[in-house]
This record gives sequence, structure tokens and C-alpha cells, in this order.
Amino acid sequence: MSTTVLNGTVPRPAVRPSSLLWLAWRQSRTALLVLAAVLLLSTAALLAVHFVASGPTAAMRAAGCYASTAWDRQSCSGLAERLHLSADLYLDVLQPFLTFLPLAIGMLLGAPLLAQEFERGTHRLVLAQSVTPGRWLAARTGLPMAAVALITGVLAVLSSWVWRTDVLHSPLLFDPPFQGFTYPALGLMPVSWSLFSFALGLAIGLWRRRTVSAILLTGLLGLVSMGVMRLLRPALYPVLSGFQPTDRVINQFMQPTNAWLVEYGGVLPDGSRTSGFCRTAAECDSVVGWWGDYHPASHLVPIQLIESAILLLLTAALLTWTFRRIGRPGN
Amino acid sequence: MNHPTDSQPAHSGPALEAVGLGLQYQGGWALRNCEFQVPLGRVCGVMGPNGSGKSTLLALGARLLAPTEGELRVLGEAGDTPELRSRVGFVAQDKPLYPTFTVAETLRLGRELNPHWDQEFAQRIVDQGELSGKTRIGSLSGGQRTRVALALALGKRPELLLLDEPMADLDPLARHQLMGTLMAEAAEHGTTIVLSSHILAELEGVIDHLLLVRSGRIVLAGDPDEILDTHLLLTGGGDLSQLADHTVLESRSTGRRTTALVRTGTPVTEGWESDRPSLENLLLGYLRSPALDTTTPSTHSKAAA
Repeated sequence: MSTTVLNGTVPRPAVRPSSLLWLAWRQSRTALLVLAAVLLLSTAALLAVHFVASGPTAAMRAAGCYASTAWDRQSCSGLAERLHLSADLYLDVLQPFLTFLPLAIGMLLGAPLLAQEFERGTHRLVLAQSVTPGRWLAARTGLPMAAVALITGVLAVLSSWVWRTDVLHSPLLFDPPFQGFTYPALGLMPVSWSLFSFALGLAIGLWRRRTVSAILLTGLLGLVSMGVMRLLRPALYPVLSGFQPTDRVINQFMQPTNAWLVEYGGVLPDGSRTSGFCRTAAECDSVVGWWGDYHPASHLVPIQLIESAILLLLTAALLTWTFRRIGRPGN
Repeated sequence: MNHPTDSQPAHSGPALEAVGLGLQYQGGWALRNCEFQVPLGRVCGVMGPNGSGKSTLLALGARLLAPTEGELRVLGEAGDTPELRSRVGFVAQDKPLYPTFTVAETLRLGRELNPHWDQEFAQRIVDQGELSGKTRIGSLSGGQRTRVALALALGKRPELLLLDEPMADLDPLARHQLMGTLMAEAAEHGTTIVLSSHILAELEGVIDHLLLVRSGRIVLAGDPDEILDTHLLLTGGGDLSQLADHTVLESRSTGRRTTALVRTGTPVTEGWESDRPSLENLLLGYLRSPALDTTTPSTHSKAAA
């Protein structure tokens, strides 16, 4: 079979991608099955939220329950209770779950992936086969990353759809898109944060080479990254500035519905600005109007796109570092 | 069956060739100034005390480590190419295997990741140990794991097999059986085998090439018989100063009798009884020799190689 070439090297066929995928699948099998179960359960829960909510919403609309005169009607409050039950599942359980899912992916899937190989020394088993470290790592990380992207992608689409159809347009519910657990459960956020968190865990695992410390450090740095991004977020896109003359009734700038009021304060007769609420009656009386910097709801998509671009750049940087480092002998 | 080693060997120089090889750890040098060659087709024993640098040497050969200075050419290649990986087999000292894989899955890993995999051969090694394919690696004993690790390395049909303390966990029967398999592989396919050990009995009569490592230096390299031919074990009441023309590696005095291990080209007769040392005499002499603490080890290994 084998041929000898004049220069003395025996050509050997390369390892097929399907072979590397088999190994990657075998090694990530448990984690991927758990992810699939998470996807099934969350999908079921999100669909349940939608179908449980859509019934009462339609019934209330038909019965005219949304008119303020109907608020004390027995039939309406019963329908509202059912609506709130499903909304609570989405707002209090599924949104926080989607917020912290990326962190769990980084800690439980990303961090142990290489840390465990190095802790057990099994990377030397793989490197003793006829495959380069880079190709092995590409399959080893590519398969779980593709699964993470797919699963978080499906959940992000479902979550955004439920929020838009059942929460945003429901006259009884109020859940502005920029707040705490809402923003990370919408649009691209579950996908880009999960990929970033996975790459963060992978790099920390290669750096620490100890599973437990890699998991804890990934959790900690993941939380810090979320905190830092929360602080940077208002500056990712130019804010809109507004001025409202005082009406002596409302002592604050009133942003449009679902907008994110970033900064606000009073405007004094000399044109100078104060920051925050007025604290004394004299101060409130001296104010001629209110100023506010805010992101309207329409800024949600551009801000999320910019945030995702930053996260994906960081992901690419972390992966590049990981691949370079593992390709160097002596690791 | 596809055995690349059955055809003309791809490389005709030495299987391993160290030139000024050194590797520095944070605490100091694990290996320094190593110069040696291991010819193709040999069964080479790497001997030395624990911590002397044997594992480092094998890991450098398997391209798990990169040298700090100099180079270790493997089958003629100085660098780390994918092609080289398919020609070199390596079993690390702790026999790393995936504990959740079954024996059959571990062999499948070998089949999937090695283009010239010999399933029948690997299976036979596993079957000799009466291991079921369905058994999880995590539930195997140390010796059984060694057997699977060796099956994985041998099934790859490498031209060069680097084994770090391969027999340490095995019972005498399994050791005998697997050593027989290794020797048959070397004889049939011309595979070069480099195996480390700190137990002489494991390697005596098996190896036809020797590398002796002491504190990160190669103090002896070459065919054991040829090395023994150039050494004498002298016993007598004579004065050590009579031996000024020879290199005295070690001497011990008990009362009026002195025993000395010397390296020499000429026979010593006057006042001394001269014997050919055993391999054990030689190794112990070199490992204890104070003379080697100050001399450059590379000159010894060059002379011996």
C-alpha cells in the first residue's frame, strides 16, 4: 500500500475530520445531552408561557377588561391572575435563567474542557496520536461551540418572541427592555454572551490547568465582565437628550415608554444643571425644567449589535490565544 | 494490513540524535549539553535514577516539550510536523487514558486518529490481558491500563516507540508477555524502541543500546557490550596512583583491598586483578562516580557513541 518517494518520506494520509468529530462528540457527549435537555425544557416553558398568556389576553381584550372601568369586574381579575401566572414564569424564572445561562456554559462546559485534559494528563494521550494539537482543539471546541450557538440561538429567538408578543404588547404587563434580567434575555445577548463565556472558560482552563479553580475563576471573571459591560452599555450608542419645562407635579424628567433613562436632573434659571432628583423643597421650586439623557427602546437593537461585536471580538482573541498556546510544544 | 515499516524505511539516519540538547525548567536544567545518537532499529534503554531527566528526554522526543537549547532530531526531523506525529508512538509514565471511555472506545480513538492503525494487533494485545471491550478504563487496574496504553501505542504501528517506564505497574507475567510483544514488534518491523526504567533487571538482556542519564546529563551512550569492553573492574592491593593513565570512575577500599572501575583502552596487569564488569557494576559505578561531577558529560557520551 505505502509508497516510498525519492526524498525518503512516506506520505501518510491525514486524519479525517469525521474522526476528530467522533472524538469530540464522545468527549462532550454528556455535556451536549444535558444542553439538549436544557433546550427542550426551556423551549417547553417558553411555549407554555406564550400559550397560557395568549388565551387570557385575547379573552380580556374581547371582554373589554382593559378599560379602567372594568378593573373591579370578577371575570376580568380571574383572567388577569392567569395572565400574571404565566408572566411570572417568564419574568421571574426564564429571564434570570437566560441571564445566567452563559455563565453556566462557561463554568461547566468551557472551563473543564481543557483544564480536565491537563489535570489528568490526557492531552498527552491525544498529542501522541497522528493529529496536530490545533486540529484536535478545533474539533474538540468547535462541536460544543456550535451546539452552544444553536441552543442559545433557539432560546434567544423564543425568548424575544414571547417578550414581544406576550409582554411588550400586553396592556397589563410592563417590562422595559433595558432593565436587569430583560436585556440579557433578548436578541443576540444569550448567544454572544454564551460564546464569550465559553471561550473565557476555555482559556482560563488552559491557563490554570486545574478544573475546580478554572470553574471558580471563570464564574468570577464572567460576573465581572457582565458588571463591566453593564457600566459601559449606556456609552455604546449616543444617548438622546431631552428637556421638559417643570409642571410642579412631577419632579423628574419623564422618559418615553420603555426607554432607558441614563442621566437626569434639574435645570436652574441660570441654565446650569443639577444631577438627580431635587432634594429640598427650595431646590425643587427653583428648577425651571428637567433634563434627561436616555436610550429610547429603538436603541435596543444597535446597542445589542455593538455589544455582541465587542463580545465576539473578545471571543476571537481568547480563542486565538488558546490555539496559539496549545500549538506550542512544552505546554 | 498496511504496515509502512514493512517497506523501505523512510529515514536512514539515527532514530534519535541530540545535539547540544538542553531543557530548562523554572528551578534549573532538567537536561543539559546532551549529545547522543540512537541508531534505527535498536531497543534502547534509558536508565538513570528517579528525577535524572529520563521522562524529560522522552517527552522531548514525543514533542510534548520543546528544548531550551540545542535540538533532538527524531527520525531525521528537527521540528514538530504532523507527519512526524504519525511515525512516533509515545506512552507517558502515568499512562493517561480517558477514564469514561471503554476499552473498545479507547481502541477506536486509536483507529480514528491514526491513518495506519492496526486494529487486529491492538486487539490482540488487549485480548491477551483478558480485557473486555465493554470495561470502562476508570475501573481497570494499573497494569491493565498499561496494557491498553501499550495497545494504543503499538496499534499505531510507529517507526519509533517511546515508552516512559512502561513496565512499572505490571505483574511479572504481564511484563514478560508485553516485553515479548515489544521485542517481536522490534524484530519483525524494525521498530526502534526507546524505553526508560530505573530497574536494571527489566532491561538487561533486552536492550542493545543504552543511554545512562545522571542529573540531566548523558553519562553513557552506546551498545552495552561495546561499553563493557572498554571498562575494567580492578581488584587488588595496589595504589590508585598506578592507574593515572586510566580514567578511574569509582574506587572503594575495604581494608587493604581496593576495587576500582576504570575506563581504559589498554589492559592493566601489575598489582591488579582485572575483570570485565557486569552491566550493574558499570551502571552503579557511573551513577556514583565523583569523577563525573566535574567533567563535561558530553565528552563521555561522544566517546561512547
